[in-house]
Amino acid sequence: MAKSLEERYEDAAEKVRGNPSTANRKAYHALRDELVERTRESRAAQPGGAVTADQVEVG
Amino acid sequence: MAVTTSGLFLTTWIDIVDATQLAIDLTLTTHRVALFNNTITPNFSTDTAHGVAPYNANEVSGTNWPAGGVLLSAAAAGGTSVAPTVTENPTGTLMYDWANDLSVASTTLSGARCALLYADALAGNNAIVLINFGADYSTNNGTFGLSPAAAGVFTLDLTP
Repeated sequence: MAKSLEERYEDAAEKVRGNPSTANRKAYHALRDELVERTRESRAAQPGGAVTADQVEVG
Repeated sequence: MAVTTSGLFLTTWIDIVDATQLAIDLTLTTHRVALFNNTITPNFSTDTAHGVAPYNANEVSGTNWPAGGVLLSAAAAGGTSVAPTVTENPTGTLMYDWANDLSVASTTLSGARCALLYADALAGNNAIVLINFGADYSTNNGTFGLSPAAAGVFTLDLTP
């Protein structure tokens, strides 16, 4: 089964921890930026932040 | 005696950047989120760690939320990772965020007022950030969720 974006991102982070080469960091940051963009789009699609009674918005 | 604000722990953050070189990697998913009630009074200048006062009592735990808290690697829906990220957002500001909301199903918890994120993989269990909910929250066989705001879990303005 194909790995999720989160899994690929975390695999890339592990790679950087083992070897912070320019190539590894570049690949890691590319996946991070993809994940961040997806999060931004997902939050923008939630009217009012979709906070429920047992859900707290933080930050 | 109460939780009045969210904040970062100075002792930890100074140790990260001084000669101590405390190895906090914010993107690790081995950090835990522990819940506390409103009996505690955080002191962001002197508090150091989970398991050390005031975080050695008044912890909120229950069904599917153990004492010590949940790992970020299993804190999103379906027991998946919240996928922590560190980016520049907006320009000149460091933002720590979770790509996925924290969402733990089928919990029964009473009176959670704040969440402590701490480095469980470090021997010191160093406290990183405390999130004040502003009110007490409880669940009864329900989902306990935390949704970071657009500005993430926290930001550090490095170019004020």
